Amino acid sequence: MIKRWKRYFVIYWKIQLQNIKSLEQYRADFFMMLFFTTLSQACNLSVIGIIYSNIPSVGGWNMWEILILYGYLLFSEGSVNFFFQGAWKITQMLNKAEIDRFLVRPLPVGLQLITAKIDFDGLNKMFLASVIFFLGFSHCRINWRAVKVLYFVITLVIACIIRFCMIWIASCTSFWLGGIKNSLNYFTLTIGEMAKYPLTIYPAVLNMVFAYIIPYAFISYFPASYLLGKSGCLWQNLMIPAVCGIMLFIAGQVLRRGLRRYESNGN
Amino acid sequence: MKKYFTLMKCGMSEGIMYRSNFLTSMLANFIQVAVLFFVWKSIFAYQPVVSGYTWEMMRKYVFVSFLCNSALSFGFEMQAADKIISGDMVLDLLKPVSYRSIVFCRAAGTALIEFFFTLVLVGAVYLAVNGAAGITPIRLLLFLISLVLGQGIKLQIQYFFSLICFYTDNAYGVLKGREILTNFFSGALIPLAMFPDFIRTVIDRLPFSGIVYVPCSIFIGTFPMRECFEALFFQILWNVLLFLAGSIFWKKASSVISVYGG
Repeated sequence: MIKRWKRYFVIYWKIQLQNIKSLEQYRADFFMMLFFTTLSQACNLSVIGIIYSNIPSVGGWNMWEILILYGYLLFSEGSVNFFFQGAWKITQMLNKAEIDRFLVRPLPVGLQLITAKIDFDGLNKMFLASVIFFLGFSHCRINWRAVKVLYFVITLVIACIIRFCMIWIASCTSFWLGGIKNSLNYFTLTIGEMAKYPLTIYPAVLNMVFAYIIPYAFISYFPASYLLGKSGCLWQNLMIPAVCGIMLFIAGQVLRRGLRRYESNGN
Repeated sequence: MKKYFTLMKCGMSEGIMYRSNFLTSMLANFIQVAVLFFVWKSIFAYQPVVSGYTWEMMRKYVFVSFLCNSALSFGFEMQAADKIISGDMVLDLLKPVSYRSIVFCRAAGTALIEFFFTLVLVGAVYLAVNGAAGITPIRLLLFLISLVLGQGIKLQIQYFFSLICFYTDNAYGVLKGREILTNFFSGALIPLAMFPDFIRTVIDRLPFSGIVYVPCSIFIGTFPMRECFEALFFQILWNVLLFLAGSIFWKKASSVISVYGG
């Protein structure tokens, strides 16, 4: 069992390494994206900056605390782009029956799908997120102990996994919906907008949706409020690993059931 | 003239055909608006006035800005860019109408459909939240004129960016960049009045404010009458300037067309 996973891990990196080599081919694109991503993040941060230049706090959170929420979101988004960008490509692969060649290889289809594509933009996003984290943390009074550092690292990793599962599940709906395009994954991505601000500002219904149906709150709000010592989300924090587990389980099931349903439309 | 109308009709039927794309992109935008709505709500719970805006004005601004920004959605440029990248645009070049008028008329047709959908949605929400108080016929008329001019500006900017795809294959990145840029500088996210002065002076020299901020301000009445007409004049000016810039860029960009077979 462990040996098998180790092998998958090695293969994952081998494929990713091949993907990274493709950067050579798209160098102009890389720099263009570098420019546009940085620009758009600057715009997004300016929105926060401008709001806070007019007022001191939103829902009891100041600007530096909001930046930590933002850091969680941006980092997880970047990690999906870089490590698991294949999740975005599922629809297209199904529609063009490109997935057929994965089915005949002696490797799990999931692993091959994840590594079907790489987006170097993710690196830039993760870098920017690190800068944002640094800015936020250096202005917030956080009592850093070993436990908190560990907690931060773990929640960040979990955030990345949950984020990936969301996109994965949304993309896998293409097994049932068919079609050239699947807008559900873009939709899932944009809902993330709300996770940029503390959950408390939304009405109760939306709170429920964001916390339990599309678990964005577990990506940014709950971890950040623990780090900042805000009260009132202790048990949600304990649930973070559980939510991650559930998402992984659903993601696995969706793929399995989807593949069972899959009929190639020829190649 | 007839051929342009035919193209517009094509655009309309495209708009209806790709409605699921548009609806999701509209819904995505709407989420952004809803988020801002609640952010502002929580802000105004603490202080009654922010940079001259009251909660009553802000409530209107949020919805009207959404209306201004939702037509001419992401889908149309993506399509134009995809055509450029895949080489299908050659078929458009063969037609006895200029490339730009094909793109523009199609987009206008699609935009009409999109605008209608949005109007129904936003109109209902707007009236439910704000009621019909404070809407005067003259402002409404000016608003509509300004809205059309603003859409013109947006279309020209989109055209400009879709032409960048002659030089890169990464359409999504370029167009996403465009979207974020216009959203930010047009006042779709925050009224420009709240921006710090040094950014304001830059923005006042750019065309973006004409897309959202100007029509919105005319509608909710933050612009006095005189300023309304000035703003309309600048919108027209920008339309002309961007049109000229687009022609020049097209001449340059179209010279790099290289299509492999097809």
